[in-house]
Amino acid sequence: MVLTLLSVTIITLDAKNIPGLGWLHDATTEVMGPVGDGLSAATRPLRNVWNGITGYGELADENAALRARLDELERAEIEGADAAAELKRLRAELQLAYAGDLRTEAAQVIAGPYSNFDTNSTEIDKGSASGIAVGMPVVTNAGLVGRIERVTPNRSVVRLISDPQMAVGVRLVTSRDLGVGRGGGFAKPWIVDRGIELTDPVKKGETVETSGLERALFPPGIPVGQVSSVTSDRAEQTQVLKVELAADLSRLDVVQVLLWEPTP
Amino acid sequence: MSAIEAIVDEPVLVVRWGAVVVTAFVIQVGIASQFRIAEVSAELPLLLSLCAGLVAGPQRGAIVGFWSGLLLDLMLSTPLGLSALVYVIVGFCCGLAREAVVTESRAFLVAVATAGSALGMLGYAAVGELFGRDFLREPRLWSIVAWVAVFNGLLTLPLLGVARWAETGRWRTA
Repeated sequence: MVLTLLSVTIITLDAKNIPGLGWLHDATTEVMGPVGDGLSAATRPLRNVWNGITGYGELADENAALRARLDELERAEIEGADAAAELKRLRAELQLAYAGDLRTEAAQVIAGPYSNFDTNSTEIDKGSASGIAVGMPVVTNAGLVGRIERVTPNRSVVRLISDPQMAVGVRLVTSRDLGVGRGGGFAKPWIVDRGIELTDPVKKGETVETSGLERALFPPGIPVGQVSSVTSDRAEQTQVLKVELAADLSRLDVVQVLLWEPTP
Repeated sequence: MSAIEAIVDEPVLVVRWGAVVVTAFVIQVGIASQFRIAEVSAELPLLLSLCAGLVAGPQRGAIVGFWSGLLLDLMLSTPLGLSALVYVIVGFCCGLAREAVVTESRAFLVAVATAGSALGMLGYAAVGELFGRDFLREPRLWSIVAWVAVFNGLLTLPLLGVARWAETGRWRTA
């Protein structure tokens, strides 16, 4: 009974953001970081074997998809259109469009989720010593990944945009309509379910980017993804857009932290 | 003598259980969490709480559950104390189940730990929901429950040995 009450008390104090508890969090992350890295490096060969066995079906599907893509690119080349180069050029333009003059800090994703329910966060190998602060956006070349949630001197925890509790202000690139999107959790679609009225014209494939309105969590123009389906919610008088995220959150490796802080 | 008094009176118990709890935590963070099937990994701190309950009764299960859960919570972005709360309850209930049935059957112990792991995950989702997390609506909920039960069931016997060592200093029952 005492321990149960103590646990509930700790949860309550944590919800009130008591500074001492934050310090405990950070100290554990900082101490466990190198230990986890060491164990992770030591077990990498074994883990590769394990992933090869348990992910065989997925690898086979991915292999088939890549072969199909290769065939497609070869066909395009034969026809005189270098699809790969075009894709590269477009991505480079996309990156320039959203990074602009913002300074960035490259970081390596070093650890995935430690628990089975905490799948909407990841850890990177840079922290406040590299100029990173809470709230800064994290992106890849493809698009938005999340934002910094916790920082220690040499590590940071990134809250991914797949988290249902993270709302992102977005803009449709073609129609300039504004909406609010959020994640659906692990392996569930990212949706924009507020702000897009029934009469607004939205096409499948339309690009969605951050709106960057006043007090927004992200600067404007960061690609979020592309609309993959559109349905109407008559009760709420809005359209619900499913968005295929530009960044592949399940395969994060190197990310960029934009050294930009939201205005309070 | 209560489990808390027993631990206070015997510093060796504190040292051994402390070492086991910290080791399980390090292995969970550094190794176990990275070996996944269907994006699900074993939950060693939860299993350790269950084994403590099975080996040394409900109060020890609760104490070990509290510290195991609290340590794990320090690495997670979920509310601090959430795992601690669930593991306290699960470790305690597992100890009660052990006391209610007079048997040394390994199959029984593995069955209790497997069922306890599944219930622990469901309990975690339910309590998380109370504290504002959408864990019960998590599409992988049943996959998590099933795989954690399988993983933990397979690891029960080795961890029972470890728990027995922490409690008595011996790996096997006398």
